[in-house]
Amino acid sequence: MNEILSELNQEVGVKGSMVVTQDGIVVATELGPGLSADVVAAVASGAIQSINQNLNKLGQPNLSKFVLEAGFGKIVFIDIGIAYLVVILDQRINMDVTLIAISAAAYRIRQMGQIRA
Amino acid sequence: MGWFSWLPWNKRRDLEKLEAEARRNTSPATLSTLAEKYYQSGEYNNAVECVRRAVERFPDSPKVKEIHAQIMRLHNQQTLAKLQKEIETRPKAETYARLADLYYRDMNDLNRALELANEGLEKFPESEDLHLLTGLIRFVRYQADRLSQDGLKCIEHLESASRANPMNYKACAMLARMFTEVGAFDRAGTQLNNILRFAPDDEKARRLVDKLQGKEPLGTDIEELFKNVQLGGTNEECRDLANIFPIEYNKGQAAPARLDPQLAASHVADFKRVEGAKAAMVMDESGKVVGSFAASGSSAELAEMIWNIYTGSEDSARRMDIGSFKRGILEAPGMRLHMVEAGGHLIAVVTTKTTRDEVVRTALNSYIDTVLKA
Repeated sequence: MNEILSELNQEVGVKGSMVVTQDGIVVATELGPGLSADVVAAVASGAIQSINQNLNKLGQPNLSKFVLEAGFGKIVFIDIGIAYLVVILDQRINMDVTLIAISAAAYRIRQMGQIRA
Repeated sequence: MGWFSWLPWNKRRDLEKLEAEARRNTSPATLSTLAEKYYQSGEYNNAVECVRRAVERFPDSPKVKEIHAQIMRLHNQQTLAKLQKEIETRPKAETYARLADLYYRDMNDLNRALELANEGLEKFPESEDLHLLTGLIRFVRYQADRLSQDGLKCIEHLESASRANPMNYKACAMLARMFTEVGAFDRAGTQLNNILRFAPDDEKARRLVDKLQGKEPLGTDIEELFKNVQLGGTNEECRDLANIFPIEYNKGQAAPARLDPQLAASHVADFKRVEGAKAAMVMDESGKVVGSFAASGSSAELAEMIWNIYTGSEDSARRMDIGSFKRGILEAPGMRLHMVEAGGHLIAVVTTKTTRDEVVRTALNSYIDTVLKA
């Protein structure tokens, strides 16, 4: 799985990626300099939990993808079974191109069958 | 277009009409059109000045951002290429600083500016210019979002610049301002007294020194002080004190445009035209719904869900040190939620999963440009 994340990190503007469960358990991580695995895992799991709780309240199922753009960076969360692929990106990248690479990586991780319930 | 519209005096007359229109109705649309026309007519300096003003006034307008980027890239392309080449062939701290400064001041691209300054500092860790510029960019970011990480990095770099040159006025002035804003009055006083040693006639510095005389600092741990501001907002007394000693870091003085609540409410129904739109709503900074439509279900429950997701996302972005929330697209089976922060408001559109993101993005951009008011 780390190999898939490393390959994904080669894409333009990708600063790091991680597979983390909703409870904050880190399954795999490949983060660039300046990114702490503990912080990313805590922030990502907190965000996913909170979003899913809010969606479920309105009778919606859990999120399948979330692209968050902030002033100085972007984060993508993609559902890959019982965990989520979390990718941290530079603010200036072309999302359309990078999202294809992220979705492909998510598909490959899902296909590995390692993190099914 | 008439047969003789190419004649210079006819072109100028057209521009004068647009100038008058932009004065009468200052909006993202009028300023963008005027800037484009200036550029097409060869009035490059006017075009640059116009987009600069437009981006200061309407920093959230997608149209303005696009025109600004286009014109500034064209305007600076030769200098950018020259400096980039110099960095590749014979890198110097000054070249990194000039290029980073160009991205910061002219291109409005703080990220690239910060990247370049950091890259330069890796090669030239003692550079006063690069520390000063990095401190300035963090200062600007801090003024926008009040993130403690930006504040602490700002202090770190400005102190390095000040160590390299104890008479660096800008570094000392920004440090004094930052320390005052968070209540570290003792440290602000040290910087101000330093300024007065080499600039004894600085009236503003003297006034602030007098005001800070005998004032107890709000704490001694600078990290704690910045965190307190991030969590609880700026202390009003500190802000008033800091305003005695203003720093001209911004390119202009105009306050950024905000969403006009009445226009925002009346135009929210425009989203009904987006195929597959299920609901749309606009909320102010406190989460109060300014305008909405929902094809079915309770819009109050939907508003609560959207607001919770937005505040959670904002918190995540801040904790990850990537600034404040700007846009988001959330996908769940059967629905998509598009959110944009603009002009002090949150605009959200819920669509079916089949609605193309591009269609919603265009509708949102058009809506923002319509309801932003100077």
